Amino acid sequence: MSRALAGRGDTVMLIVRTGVALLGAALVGAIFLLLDGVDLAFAFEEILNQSVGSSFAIKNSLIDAVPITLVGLGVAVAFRAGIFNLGGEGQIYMGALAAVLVVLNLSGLPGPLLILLGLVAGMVGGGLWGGIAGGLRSRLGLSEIITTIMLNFIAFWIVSYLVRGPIQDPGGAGYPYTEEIPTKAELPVIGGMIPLGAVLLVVAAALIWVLLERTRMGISIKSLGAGEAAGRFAGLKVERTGFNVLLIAGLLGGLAGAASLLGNEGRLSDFFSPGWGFIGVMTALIGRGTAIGTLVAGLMIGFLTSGISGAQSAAGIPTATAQILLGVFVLFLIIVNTDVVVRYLRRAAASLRRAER
Amino acid sequence: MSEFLDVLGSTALYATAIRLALPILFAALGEVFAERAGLVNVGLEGMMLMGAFAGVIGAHYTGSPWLGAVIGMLAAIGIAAIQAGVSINLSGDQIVVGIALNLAVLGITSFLARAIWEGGDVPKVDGFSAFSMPLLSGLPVIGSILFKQSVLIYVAIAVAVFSWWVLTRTSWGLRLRACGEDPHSADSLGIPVFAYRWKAMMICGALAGLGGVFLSLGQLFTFSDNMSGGRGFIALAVVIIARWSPLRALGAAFLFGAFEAFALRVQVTDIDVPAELMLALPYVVTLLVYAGVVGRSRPPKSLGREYSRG
Amino acid sequence: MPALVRMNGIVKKFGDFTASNDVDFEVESGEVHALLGENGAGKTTLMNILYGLCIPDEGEIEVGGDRVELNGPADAIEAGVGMVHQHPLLVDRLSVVENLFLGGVGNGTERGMREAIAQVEARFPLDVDPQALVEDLPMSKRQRIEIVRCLARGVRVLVLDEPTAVLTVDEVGDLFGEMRLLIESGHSVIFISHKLSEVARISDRVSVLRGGSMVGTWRTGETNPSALAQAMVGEQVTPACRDGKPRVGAARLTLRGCSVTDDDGQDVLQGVDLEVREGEIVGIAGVEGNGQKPLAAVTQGVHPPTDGDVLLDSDPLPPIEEWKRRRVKLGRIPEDRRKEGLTLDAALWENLLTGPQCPDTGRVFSKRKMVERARVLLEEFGVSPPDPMRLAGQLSGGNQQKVIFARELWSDPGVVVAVNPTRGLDLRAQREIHQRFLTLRDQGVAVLIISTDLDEVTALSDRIGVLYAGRLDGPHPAEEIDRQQIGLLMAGLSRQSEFDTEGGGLL
Repeated sequence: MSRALAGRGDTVMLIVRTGVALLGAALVGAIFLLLDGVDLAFAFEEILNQSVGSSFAIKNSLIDAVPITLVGLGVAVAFRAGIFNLGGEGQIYMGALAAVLVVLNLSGLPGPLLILLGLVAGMVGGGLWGGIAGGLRSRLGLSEIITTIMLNFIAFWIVSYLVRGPIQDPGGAGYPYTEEIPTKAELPVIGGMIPLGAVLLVVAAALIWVLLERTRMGISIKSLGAGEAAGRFAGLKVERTGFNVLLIAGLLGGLAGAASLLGNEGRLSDFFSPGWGFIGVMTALIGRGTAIGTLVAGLMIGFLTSGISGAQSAAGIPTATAQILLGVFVLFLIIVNTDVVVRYLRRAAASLRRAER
Repeated sequence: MSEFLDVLGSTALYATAIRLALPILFAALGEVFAERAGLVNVGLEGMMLMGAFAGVIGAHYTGSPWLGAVIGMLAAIGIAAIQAGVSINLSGDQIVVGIALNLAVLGITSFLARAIWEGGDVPKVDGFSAFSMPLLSGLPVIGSILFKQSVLIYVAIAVAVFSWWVLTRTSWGLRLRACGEDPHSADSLGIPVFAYRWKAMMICGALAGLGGVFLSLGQLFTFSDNMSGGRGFIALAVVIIARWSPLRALGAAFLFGAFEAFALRVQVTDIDVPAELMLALPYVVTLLVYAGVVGRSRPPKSLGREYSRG
Repeated sequence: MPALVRMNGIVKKFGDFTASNDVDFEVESGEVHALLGENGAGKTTLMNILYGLCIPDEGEIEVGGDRVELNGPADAIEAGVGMVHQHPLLVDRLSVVENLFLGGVGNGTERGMREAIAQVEARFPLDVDPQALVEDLPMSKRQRIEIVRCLARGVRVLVLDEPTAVLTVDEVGDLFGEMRLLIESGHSVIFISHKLSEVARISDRVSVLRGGSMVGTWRTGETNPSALAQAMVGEQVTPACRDGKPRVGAARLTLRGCSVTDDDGQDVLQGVDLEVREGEIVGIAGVEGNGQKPLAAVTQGVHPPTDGDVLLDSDPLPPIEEWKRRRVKLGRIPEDRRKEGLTLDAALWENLLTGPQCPDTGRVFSKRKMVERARVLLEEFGVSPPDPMRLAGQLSGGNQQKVIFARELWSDPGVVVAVNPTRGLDLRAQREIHQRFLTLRDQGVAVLIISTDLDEVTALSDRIGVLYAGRLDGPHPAEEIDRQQIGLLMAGLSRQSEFDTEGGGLL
């Protein structure tokens, strides 16, 4: 996979390719918006306003970036091992479930401790879900593409059952959600602009970077992704590594769920995640499977989605625009990174240089 | 306990099971063609969704569900063409392309639904209503299960049998399978690998689109956001469980439909089990069956690998 | 009389690498034309072009006097050119009949195909069960299916791509008989090889390629092996050769009654006893497919034997996953350096850290230090350029092999097991690798070399064993066994058997 989007080459080519893909996606997006009769200039201004126009907007954008980037980091680690974690959605739900159970039941504890326990519980919940997929893969050889999707459904229905039954908010007029978490368990926002979740992101990205770039386990993960035979011959625990990356992905997915619960949502419902798991996959793809790339991509997507949903009513842009842009962008990224197109781009660049002279 | 048996004994259960199984079956049959030719098509979900959406659009503007079905299939073939072009001709990663397409289609359908109808409020359209087979529908038990269904059901069974025949009994099918087993050898035998893979993907798009059409025009008679709801992924699982055989796919899809139908029917009885947990059951069963068959299955040798001449 | 095949000014480049450099090549009808050259000389590229698998950048091709455009094998077959690959390109999981059918034999109906096959069989026997799955057949039969398939489609020129490398001596004899049969029925054969003796024995004319260029074409009878060798190699490179008696010490690697049964229940290795001692090189010769893979797997710790013991000194060899923890020191040179040996998409420093032999790196390492260590190591092993940041896939085969040596010898293992260590390398790299083995031997390392290259085995080994059908004969001291005897053993005959040595002489 690492080659699917990260075709080799120098930084200039990388920027050129990403730029071309971005341009393509923007063009497709613009066509859709124009067809819908949207005033593009106004829409662009409004999106900008709603994503970075004020400290409130920035806070909202960062909050949007938290779950997708955390899930994305987990997806990225798995990608590097050639494993597709499509289970972000289920991991988020299980993480948020574990977190809400802990926070509501231990509400007597002091705030910071409660937050810490909530986040850890989230990782345990998500890790369990990722670990199941990992175990099924390494023990029985089941494709994680199938199992993670099935586990998403199972997690969703478990949560759906619980929030309509045992842990439903008794004062919620029958809505399918839990009680709200105590205020002291909410993640603080630093300076009214930087939510703690965003700090968590940077820390997580840094840890994943160290894991991938500075440990032997990281080298194992990457070499597994490049081909199993070499890894097996060199004595890598191939099955074990496959399990580990799905476990790590689960931990991060669970953390994403817990961080969203404590940082923004405040309660668990069965409409808790608006597809963060799959947006997380896109985030990792755009980030080319690297920790830093995923962090940057996650923040950008956070600003984009938050801007679009903020501009929705004023500029008449459907939120689905964000999905179109992301899907098409990734599609173009794949296309511009295939060998055929890379060769073509290179030739075009060379003839351009010649023409300048 | 006896209430469970009542549910299991009701003909309505099996009729529902077939109805729920159909969209998955169509998509799975399409995927069998793609995978036998060596292509993993994760974009199945997006193709179904596109089929469901375009089917409603077509039925709405033409007033005919049949024309709607054709338009739905054509739209899904369009998505399949992107999947084929990027993954076959450009050797892009098959799985990544599929994931990206799924999200793009999710966005596009929901965007267009809102662009066409205020608030995305898609009106009801004429769909395929149940069709009683003359004479046969009068048969006891079997009559109401098999012969009082939407006409697409007969199409589905015919397609499954026909697919099996094409893949295993014709030279075209033999060549298609050769492309999935060993494209390098197939190429050297003078079989146009790219052309066969393209054809397989087009068939896959058409059938997945038809599955989507059945969701919208055969069941709900309208379109709602993300209405495929992961059925494309279930179809992927069905193909593995069916070990790449169209006939076994018939059984596997029905098995899934039966569990889902069971979960739905239990809700309307006074049996005291949580409905939501019952709805998780089909997925648990799918996982268990998958775990049970995985050791015995031998996927096409070059499944998921792009092919290019060195 | 016009040439049956004429290739003019063929140029083919892969990136910066020129695989065919303005090559002219002609084949007359009714001849066996040998195409001789080292690995990488451009033989296969040229023939892939003739078979339409590869489209040349420049040049033209005529078959039977007509200019042809070959955009795929279908065009080539249409023009009358067929190809039989060393590992025949058949779909393994389909039956013989299905493969023939796929190959376009007959008019598309099953009856038409049977008729076409029957016609071919009148001149050339198929001699396999048509319902058998290809994956169950030996290589010689698979090659025969490809030949029949080509004949049934009316091919006039058959390209045989190094067919003998995967055959036993007997099978080679049979194949040469079949080739004569083809010539008699009016076909031409292009025979690709890098074995002079085979070329001398079967061909009418011989063309030599070197480094992508055509050196020349001769009548086989009017040239001699040493002249051809000179043309093939271009320059004289003296091969490395061992000298002096080994100073042999204690046994380091011991196999006792090792047997391996594969997934299909075949006994691919049977009761092998073997000792490799300090300061000696033991070479294992044999035709490919006679147990080299399982022997390599158990001695390199890829998996344990089904039966019997592999001992390193006096302890059983633990599973490879535990080597790091138990400090097992066994250097391993794998057969397939691109698939097993290296991660081609990773940088060299990362590749060096992947193996079980790399010294402890600590939990979180400093990349700067690791890269520096890697640079020192690469320099020491003569990798050029010694740039740790380069991707392994960007190196030449010889340099890749040196990186593997660097990784595997990093912790000074007392035992080294290598499989076909110089396959596909040019002579210079070959010599350097051989020298490395001899140095190891003189340093007191126990070396086991499993190789299908008989020259390599005889040049390096102090003791020589021969694998045939999963059984090991020997090893015998190198002085007590000559090439002819080894050849007999490789063919499954005993050393003393009264075998017509004319046949064995081709080795």
